[in-house]
Amino acid sequence: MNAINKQKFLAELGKLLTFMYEEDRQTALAMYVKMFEDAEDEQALIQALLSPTRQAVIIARAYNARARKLQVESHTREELGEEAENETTPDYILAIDEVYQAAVPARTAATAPLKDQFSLFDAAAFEEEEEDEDGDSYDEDAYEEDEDGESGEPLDEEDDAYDEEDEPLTDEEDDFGEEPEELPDEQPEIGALDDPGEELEPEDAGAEPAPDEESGAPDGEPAEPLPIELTAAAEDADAPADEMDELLRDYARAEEEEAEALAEELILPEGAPAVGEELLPDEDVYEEVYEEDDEEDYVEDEPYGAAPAVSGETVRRVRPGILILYLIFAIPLTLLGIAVLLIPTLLCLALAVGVIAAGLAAVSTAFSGFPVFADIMIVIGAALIILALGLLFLWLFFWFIGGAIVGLVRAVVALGGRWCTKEVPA
Amino acid sequence: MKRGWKVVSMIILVAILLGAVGVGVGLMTGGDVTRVADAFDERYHLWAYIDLYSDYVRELVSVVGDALRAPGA
Repeated sequence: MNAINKQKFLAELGKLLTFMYEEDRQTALAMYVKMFEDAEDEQALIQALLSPTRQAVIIARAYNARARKLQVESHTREELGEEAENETTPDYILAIDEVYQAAVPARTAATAPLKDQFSLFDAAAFEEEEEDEDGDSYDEDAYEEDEDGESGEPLDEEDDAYDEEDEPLTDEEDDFGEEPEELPDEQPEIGALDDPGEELEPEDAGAEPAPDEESGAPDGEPAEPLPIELTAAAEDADAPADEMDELLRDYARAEEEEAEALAEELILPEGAPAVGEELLPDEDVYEEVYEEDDEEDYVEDEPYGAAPAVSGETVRRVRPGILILYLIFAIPLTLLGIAVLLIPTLLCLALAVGVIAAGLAAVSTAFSGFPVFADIMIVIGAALIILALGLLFLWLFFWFIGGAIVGLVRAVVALGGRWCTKEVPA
Repeated sequence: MKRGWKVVSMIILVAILLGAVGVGVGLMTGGDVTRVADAFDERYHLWAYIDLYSDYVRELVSVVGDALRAPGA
């Protein structure tokens, strides 16, 4: 029924996050899986998340590959017996946590971890967990701070948001920190599309170096360099914030344009619900439909402040009065300009023909009318220079035709497009 | 278009250089420009054409000049 569901969302996200270290990627995916489990309505959550691409961009913005490499290396030293250092929670986890808080606000209290449970969305707890993997991961202070002082309610035993296609989870499986060995039951939906057979181990995220054994990449290097834009954004984490915002806006704009084109092809009415996967082969159409419905909500919930540029969809509308006036003046002026440009054009053509003919005649004469070798050399040399001039005139002729005249017409059309239309909100 | 300009200018430069070398070699090996010009004149009557067109242009210029200098113009 829906064009995108949990599986597709996670699979797509998994593909987009290949620029991260493997365990970071698994951690991020695990957090999204958890987000889906905690959400009351899966579709509402997908709607709030907008698209896997957007989420990947958010993560890429927060992800600092170099810093992660250093963290991974320091972890490696810890494992070798060196003194443990204090670690900070990776920024991308905080970013996903923010997304979680924005996307699943109502369920936050309901999904509060139990006393002995570990929450991936609790940054402090995450830190604690990394420092002491053998100890109890529950941090009561962090928990209370995260829940804004609300006391922890027991976790719902029934998993409302769980997809029908998934295998049923037990109550204990709701928490990754508690039962990490159970996660592979659900992992195939992600791993089948990304790294088959690889287990999801959120507890170990960031605790090991990042060797990509399957791809054979060297230790500490990202598994794949794709996608380029996201990788660049992640690598260049020190870039100015407006560049990042620009990147995000470009992504969002490209998505909207693609979705618009698809919607037009499918002749879908604006805001129409998805009618089936056959009609909505691409998730972008789904996005377009739901983005329009919740444009205002999206503006409020936008975590990176790029909302006005992203959601401000505009269309160009013709201003008939100005268009008529423009045509009245532009057509004669353009014709006049073309006529003026035709004079040098034809002159160049005539010169080119004449000079090339003279050059060819000189070459033919050189081999038939001169018995002295020195004279032949002079004539051939002069003929080459004449032919070069002829080529210059010929090229100028083509340049006038293809560059000047066509350029004039294009400029007039472009100017008309700019003057005679205005952008209005769709 | 920019690439076209590049290619054409390169070809023109090479042709002019080769032509200059040819003329230079011809002159150094005993070539005579007057002899070459006479040969062309004999074959194509170049000076006759040149005289003809130069007279035509001179006449055209004088007619246009008279028209512009005429009172009331």
